[in-house]
Amino acid sequence: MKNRIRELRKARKLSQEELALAVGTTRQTITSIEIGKYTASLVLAYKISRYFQLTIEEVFDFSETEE
Amino acid sequence: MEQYLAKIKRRIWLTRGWILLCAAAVVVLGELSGRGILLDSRGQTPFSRSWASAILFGEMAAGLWLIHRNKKLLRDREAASDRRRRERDELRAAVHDKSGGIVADCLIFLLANAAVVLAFVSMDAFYAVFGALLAAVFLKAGTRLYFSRKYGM
Repeated sequence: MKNRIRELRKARKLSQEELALAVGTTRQTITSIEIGKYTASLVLAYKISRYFQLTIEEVFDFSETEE
Repeated sequence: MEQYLAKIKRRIWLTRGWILLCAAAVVVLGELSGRGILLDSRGQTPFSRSWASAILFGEMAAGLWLIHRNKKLLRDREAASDRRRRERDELRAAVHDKSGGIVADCLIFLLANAAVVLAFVSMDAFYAVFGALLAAVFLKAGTRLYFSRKYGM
């Protein structure tokens, strides 16, 4: 699933480790989500979106999964 | 955090209990095979004898290492917090679940200990259980490797 995590993180000059710490996960998980190899759970997607003060739809692209 | 530290303390006690059980098994199995109730070294193959010892003493060594690591976590809250974050990590949990999860872990644990006991009872039964143990270990390792790569871990 495509997402804007990398873009949002870069805009805020955050490292993957810092974001991982803020949402209670690991850097590896953030990397995997960013490159689209792993789809975050609803809880983690919510935590990441809330961290960036955006909605889940604004961070994650559901268009491919809806088909 | 306090809940996690209490969980670590429980893990330490459980591991201590398991090491004591292993030590008791060494004495009991040795005594029963010495009295001829169970198979002694003449009835066992060198392969079964060495693998049964390796599993039993390996479990004890792993237990001691786990106690040491968990005690270190109790002293260092930052390390404990980092450990808790890694244990709760959903990618890690997903890979664990996809590779058999707790069921595969329990199966390997049961087969390993069954192999130790059967090495003192019947060689045919030992080889059957040991084969199943190897299959379970390779299946678990293979699926774990596959899903780790698939999820970019």
